[in-house]
Amino acid sequence: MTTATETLHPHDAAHDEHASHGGGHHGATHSGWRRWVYATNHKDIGTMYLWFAFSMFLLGGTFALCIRAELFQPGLQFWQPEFFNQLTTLHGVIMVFGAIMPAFTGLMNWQLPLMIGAPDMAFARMNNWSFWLLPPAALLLIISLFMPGGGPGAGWTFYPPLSVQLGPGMDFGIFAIHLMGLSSIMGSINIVTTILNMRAPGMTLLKMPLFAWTSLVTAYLLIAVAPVLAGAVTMLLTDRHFGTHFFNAAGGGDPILFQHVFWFFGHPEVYIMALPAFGVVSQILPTFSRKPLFGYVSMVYAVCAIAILSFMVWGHHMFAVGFPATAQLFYMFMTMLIAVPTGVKVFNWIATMWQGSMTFETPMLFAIGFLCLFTIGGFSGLVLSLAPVDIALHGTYYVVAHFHYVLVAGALFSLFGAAYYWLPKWTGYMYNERMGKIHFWWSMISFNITFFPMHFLGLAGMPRRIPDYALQFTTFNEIASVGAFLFGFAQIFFLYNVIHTIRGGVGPAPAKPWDGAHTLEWEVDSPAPHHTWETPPDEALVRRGLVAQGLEH
Amino acid sequence: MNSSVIHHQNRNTARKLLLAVLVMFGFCFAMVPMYGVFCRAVGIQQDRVVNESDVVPAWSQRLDLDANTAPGVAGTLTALDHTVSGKAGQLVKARFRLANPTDHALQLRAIPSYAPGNAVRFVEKLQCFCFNEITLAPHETRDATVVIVLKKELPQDLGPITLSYTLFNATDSKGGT
Repeated sequence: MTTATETLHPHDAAHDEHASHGGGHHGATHSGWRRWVYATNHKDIGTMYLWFAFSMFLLGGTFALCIRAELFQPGLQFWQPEFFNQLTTLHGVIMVFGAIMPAFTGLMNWQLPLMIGAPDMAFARMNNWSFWLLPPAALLLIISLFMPGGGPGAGWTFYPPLSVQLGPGMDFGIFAIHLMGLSSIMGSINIVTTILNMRAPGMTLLKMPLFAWTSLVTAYLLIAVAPVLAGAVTMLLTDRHFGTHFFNAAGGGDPILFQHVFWFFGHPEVYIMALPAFGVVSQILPTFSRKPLFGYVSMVYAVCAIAILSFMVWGHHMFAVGFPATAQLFYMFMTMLIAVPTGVKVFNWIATMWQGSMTFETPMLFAIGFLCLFTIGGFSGLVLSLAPVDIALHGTYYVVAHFHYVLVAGALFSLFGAAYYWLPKWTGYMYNERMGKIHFWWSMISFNITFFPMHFLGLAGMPRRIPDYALQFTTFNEIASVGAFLFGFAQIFFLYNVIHTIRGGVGPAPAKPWDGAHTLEWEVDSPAPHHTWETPPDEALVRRGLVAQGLEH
Repeated sequence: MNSSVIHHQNRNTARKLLLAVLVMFGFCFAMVPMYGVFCRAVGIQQDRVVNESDVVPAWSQRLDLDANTAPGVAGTLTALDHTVSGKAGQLVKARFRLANPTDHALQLRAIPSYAPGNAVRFVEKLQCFCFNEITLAPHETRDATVVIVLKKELPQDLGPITLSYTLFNATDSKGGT
């Protein structure tokens, strides 16, 4: 695939795709609802992923606001403690598995074929199935709330023995996780295959856009750990119904085993949510700094190093279970080691901006916002990596503050940045820059109002997952609740902004609205035609982009 | 490169990745025994080593206590606990009462015996009034506790053990036993 003479003949491509995908893929043969239910086009599927993720984001956000409303004052105002537990659980599960991960998969579906010059994802029909497993999974989570005993209330980590004892809502949660895991695995196989086999001629692995690199590594991580999560919840299921005792101490099992198995999945999972964000930011920052990404190869190695290290640090979630000192020290040092490749990335991003001709369009603002707040989240993570400190802060609001800084200001801000960055390509129209900037500053300020006081609450000892709290925590909780509602309404504004863009925005977008962008997606029209790169981009075009990105000379 | 070659490559890649998925699913279940084996192998299990004395069998051993007085002995011996029970590896205690109803001091000796006879291999007295001669002052009443360890090797099918004491005069005990 490296020579121009081997490019696909358009006629052959159409013919073979009919043969390999059983037809229905080529051309807009379906209209109306069939276009979406039978979708095999990576752009249609990407769009569905993104809308699904956004609706789940609003649902999970609603749960978050229910939590913050209850915590506005001490005492019980709105919910009973059991329902509060279900709110925190579903907020976590829906945001992680329903919002952030599908949003990134949607981005990858839309962008990867465009960015590496492939006509579509490798397995278009499996892609359809990957997406359509998600709505039933979400439905299972929602109807679990109406089961006797309510939804799963054991926290998104589903620790036994509570998760073994809960009512049938827990089974719905387990099956939802099975479906979402299956969807992730199939999506990841698709992504890895597409990236490994279908790149444009001349684009070697070390010349791919960094977003493709982080997608590749993320997909590998998912292939490695999604089956582990599936196994863990399967063990829960058999413990609940089929008389096994994996986690039941009375039957010779070990509840701590679940924590080991869960976090063997769970820690790579946090990088599954963070690495694509790194990729997005690594596309946006060079574009608006009008400079090539600083230290491309070290960025790639940093991503790989983070991925490998992520398998060796799961114990830092479990410092409080009574590890021997040897194990605590091992996990502590390995965790601190992750700060090295992450630091490489942060410094490279700053160096990319250094002396660049920067402009501050909305995607750039979100990327810089990401950089500042993710670094704060990284530092609080470094604080928590110290075993003696973590034992004091374990299960407090400090942890809540930490992971919202890396997941909301990290993953979510990068998703907003990506949405504004690629909206012109997706819709063919420019978004309203002024509204975009308002969305950014509104989110940035309200995010910090919400989550910064949680550091203080945690240091003062306020536990997580409680519907009521001691009086001395009132003021900071009130501030956080006000911030949360402000943050929530900012996202309604974002929705309005996106719909406004789809309906014409401030005018048609050129094929390349950002003059500093040099990746292949900007070589196709805006909006991107339904079928792109059916003839792979020729080597000269690819080479021109690579030279502009500083990857070839 | 034509698309059927790419298609073939894609299937190959997907097959390898699917294999990785299956391996990792198996790995998840392999972790159930592996964690314990690993921690023991590298010796970082110290905080969670099971204390052997904490392991107790579910069944209990019954121990019946019996006291007799040989003919011509003026002192009395009565068992205050008629039945005690304990688990293999643990201690059991039983109380006895010695009394001297006479106006003069008595030199006495208690001789134990077991039924069934082979129980003696599994029962060890740590403290007993039968270890030494007993001197009782006139009209003295004395309580004595026998402390017995039931050895770990105690078989479950032994049945109830009877520990019987017979009280003799110390002066004629040499002849008596």
